[in-house]
Amino acid sequence: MLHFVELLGLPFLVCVAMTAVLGYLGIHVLSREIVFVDIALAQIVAVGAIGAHLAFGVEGHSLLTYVASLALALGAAAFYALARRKVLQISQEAVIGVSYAIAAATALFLIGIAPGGHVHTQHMLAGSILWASWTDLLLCVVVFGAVGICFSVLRHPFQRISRDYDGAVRDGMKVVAWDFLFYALLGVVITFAVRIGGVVVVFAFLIIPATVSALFTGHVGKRLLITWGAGTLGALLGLLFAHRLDFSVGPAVALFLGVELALAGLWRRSSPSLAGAVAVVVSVGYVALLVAAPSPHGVSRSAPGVSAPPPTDVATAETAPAASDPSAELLPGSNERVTTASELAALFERTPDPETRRDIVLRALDVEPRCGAQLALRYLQGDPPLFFRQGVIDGLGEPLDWDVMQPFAASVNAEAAERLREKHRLDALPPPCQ
Amino acid sequence: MSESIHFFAVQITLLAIVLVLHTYLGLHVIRRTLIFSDLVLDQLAAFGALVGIGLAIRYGSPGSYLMSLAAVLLGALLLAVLNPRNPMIPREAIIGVLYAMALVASLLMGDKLSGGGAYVTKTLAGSMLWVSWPIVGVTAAVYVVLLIFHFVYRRQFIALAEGTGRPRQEKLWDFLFFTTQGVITVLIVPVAGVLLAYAFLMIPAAIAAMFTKRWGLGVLVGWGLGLAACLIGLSLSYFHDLPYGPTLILSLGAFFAAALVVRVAVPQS
Repeated sequence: MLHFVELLGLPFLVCVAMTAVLGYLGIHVLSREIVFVDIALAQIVAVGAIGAHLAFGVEGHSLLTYVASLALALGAAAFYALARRKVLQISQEAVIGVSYAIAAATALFLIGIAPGGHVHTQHMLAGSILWASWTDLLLCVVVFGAVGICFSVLRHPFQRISRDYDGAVRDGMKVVAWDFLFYALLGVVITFAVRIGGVVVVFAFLIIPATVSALFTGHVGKRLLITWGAGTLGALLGLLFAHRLDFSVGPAVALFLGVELALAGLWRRSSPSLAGAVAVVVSVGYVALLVAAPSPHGVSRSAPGVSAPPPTDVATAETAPAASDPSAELLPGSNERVTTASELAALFERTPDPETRRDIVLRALDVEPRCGAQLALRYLQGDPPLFFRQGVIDGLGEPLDWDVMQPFAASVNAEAAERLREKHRLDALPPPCQ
Repeated sequence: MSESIHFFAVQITLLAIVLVLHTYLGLHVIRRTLIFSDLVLDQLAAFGALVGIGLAIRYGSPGSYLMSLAAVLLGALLLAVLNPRNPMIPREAIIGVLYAMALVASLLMGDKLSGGGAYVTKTLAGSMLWVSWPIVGVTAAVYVVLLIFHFVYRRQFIALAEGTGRPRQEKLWDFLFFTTQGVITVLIVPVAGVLLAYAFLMIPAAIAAMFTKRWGLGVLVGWGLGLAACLIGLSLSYFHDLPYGPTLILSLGAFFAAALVVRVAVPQS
């Protein structure tokens, strides 16, 4: 029990802090019909973080990352505020939608020219709430608290513009300046929330609880209470679910927020008794799943992961299911976990399927880089299908200048292979996989 | 050399075909502010393919397309049916939630597939480099059929978009609209990826919508500018070895930014 609280307590508190501020902002976002804004801002913030990582080699939670992210978020805030006033032919939502596509493409572009890309993608989307630290929580409380105070002091002008933009323009309000402030504050919240929670969970906290509350009442105070209640409940259900069944935390929390909305919608739109019945079935199923699930493994807060930089956390999180779930295809004929490099090498020799072989190579790279590099070369020598090839080259995680479109024998790749051999001294004794 | 000519011929043919219908549907989506709807369908197509991988159906095989199609039809149904009457909840919010759920489902699937993270990235980024003549042929055939369908029934769809004289059985036409969008999504997402498919739909149409309110002219402007942007992106990607999808989107984005600047500098009378 204590272990439970220790493991899930902090992530839960972080979720509560997020729902407190994001839920309130969500009510504004809904009435302004700019649902996309947070995904777009989150994506822009992620571009800042990835850019900082590539340009300066800094890790996830450094000051430079936040500065780069914030700078981009402020730029976006200025752009949105101006576009709302100046671009009249298409809706604000369309402008935001296009800016999202551009930001996401920039992120993938940067990732694509950097090694180990898919780890970043997964992290950017799914986040790493489970690895939140006390520092993260403190940061959340301070930043969200400051933004919350700004919003409560300035609530009248913000609400005026949220409700009736054209009226505010007619009354001579400086809407561009107010809008800039609104988007900038939103950007600040999202910068910090996305670093911890990932894009999906932040979006879910922003939109879903606010939508649930709108189903029941129009009164701002009551809406806030419902919003916060729904957010907290969703966080709790999602955390327990992810922990017991070994899923990513962020998507699980978002999933249960979605379930809440579905039930609330059913309640209001059809009959309460039907919604009640469905709710009972869902909760019984949920409890049964939690009870029946095998006890979780591998993830422990006392591990060095507590303060480790996110990309490493994700690597752990990504390989954890593979390690814990000794799938039949990975271990033909045996149900044991293959952990040492020599075992992996032996398994590699026995396996014909290129996909499984790729997974073995990636595992070997985690366990013992020298052995992994050797297996990777042996694998690439066989010219496996393009996508598998790409996976292994990404997994090597070094700027080898490998041309994935060319076969292994091409001169550019022969040179890259030679560089890899020299780096890991693969020709020197003893053989790396022993 | 002939290989690169062949590569460009296939690519350009596909792009030219794809952009016609995408621009037209994009104009609808922008007029109706259903921006997210395409992302929902794209993400569901990707989710269907991921489920297929979970069931050992190879990515890009006919079975995988069927899985995507099933997921997308479900999405089209939900998009058409879920239309909140509550004025405090914009329709876009419901669409946004559907998108989040589709993405969440994909990520949770990715957790349980070996190498799942790589697949999630792949469905986002796509790999248009795999385009071949058979794919172009199938895509072209389906697109032509859909174009004829949309041309014949253009009045109903345009009435939905402009809110004038709503057609009877509004939900049915909505469903048909989202289904068209879904079918082209299923065809395009495995090759282009979620983001590029979304960009094809949104960006040329957004550019066109800033300059004209007429439908025919809008499609022409969007198609022309979109194709020009894609050609630039394609060449950059090919000759400088840059990531395919992102480069095309950034090129489209540059055109959009230029259009914004023009529009702000020269306000419409």
